[in-house]
Amino acid sequence: MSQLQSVVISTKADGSWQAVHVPSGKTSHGLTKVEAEDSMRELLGMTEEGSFQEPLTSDRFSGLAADIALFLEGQVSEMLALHSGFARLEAFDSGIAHIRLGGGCQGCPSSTMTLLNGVQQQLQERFGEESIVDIVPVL
Amino acid sequence: MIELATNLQLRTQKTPNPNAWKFILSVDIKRDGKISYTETRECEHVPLATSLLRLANVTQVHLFENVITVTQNGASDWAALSQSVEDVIRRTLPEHDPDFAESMAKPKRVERTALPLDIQQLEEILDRTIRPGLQADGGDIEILELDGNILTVRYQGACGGCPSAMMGTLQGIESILRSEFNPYLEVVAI
Repeated sequence: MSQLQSVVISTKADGSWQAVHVPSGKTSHGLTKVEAEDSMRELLGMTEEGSFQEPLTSDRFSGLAADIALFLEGQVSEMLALHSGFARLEAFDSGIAHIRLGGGCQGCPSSTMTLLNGVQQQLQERFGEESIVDIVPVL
Repeated sequence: MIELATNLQLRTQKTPNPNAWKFILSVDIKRDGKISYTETRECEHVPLATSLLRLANVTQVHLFENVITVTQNGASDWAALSQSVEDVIRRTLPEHDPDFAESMAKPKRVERTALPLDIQQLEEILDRTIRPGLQADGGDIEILELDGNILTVRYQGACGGCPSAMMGTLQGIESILRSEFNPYLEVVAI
């Protein structure tokens, strides 16, 4: 089973268990360690094996858009996986990439900032500033 | 002093904060506890730290066991900066003492058992619930003050200036401490 990243599991004073996804502050509880872990996986949208149920989108695109989608699913998602997150391309039009961050990033108040700062920078380094004019978060 | 600096193994690791990288060494550079420096005058007695802070655009250096987390202001390209960081580490390490005093003014850290009981309890909860996650990202958190229901904390290393530490993580910390310590606690990060 793949490890939950950035999640700390501990016992509480009453003997029950809690799991905290540290970057987003999401917290789950359970009577046993396994229960707390399972409920954290559910909270993050993961399967029991720890992978995301989220389909890839790169097969929907062609040309530059497909390259961008593959880059998001590969290198960018690998980085976000450090926080149990992932990225997908939802649309690409006239240099504007519509990107959805999920998993640990889903609903996290800072994921918009992460998108603006980190992901845009990586995309522009890879594909050039003239190709990636702007990015828009998809909620 | 650190022996075997010529055989030093050093690898870099990105953190979720795009402006902070971890430099992971095969030897400890801070054996006991951890420390962050943002100004060279705070660490004149630690040439490793002052030399890193003198590199252009470097804003903070965090030392913890065998990991140095370097934070920059975003103006430097990491490919070049990481090479300079590595050069500084290799140059200064032979003279570096992993048991260095954290500050020249107060050479000894306050032992945890000497802290007030409520602070000890808070530290214990943070150790158990949040710190392992922050440390894995090259950061940490420090308790500054508990005044009534207001707990003031400061982030260190990669967590400093990271938007998720200031929002999501802080809410998580508050909810844990409310359930385990004081239901009316408010946590403020500076």
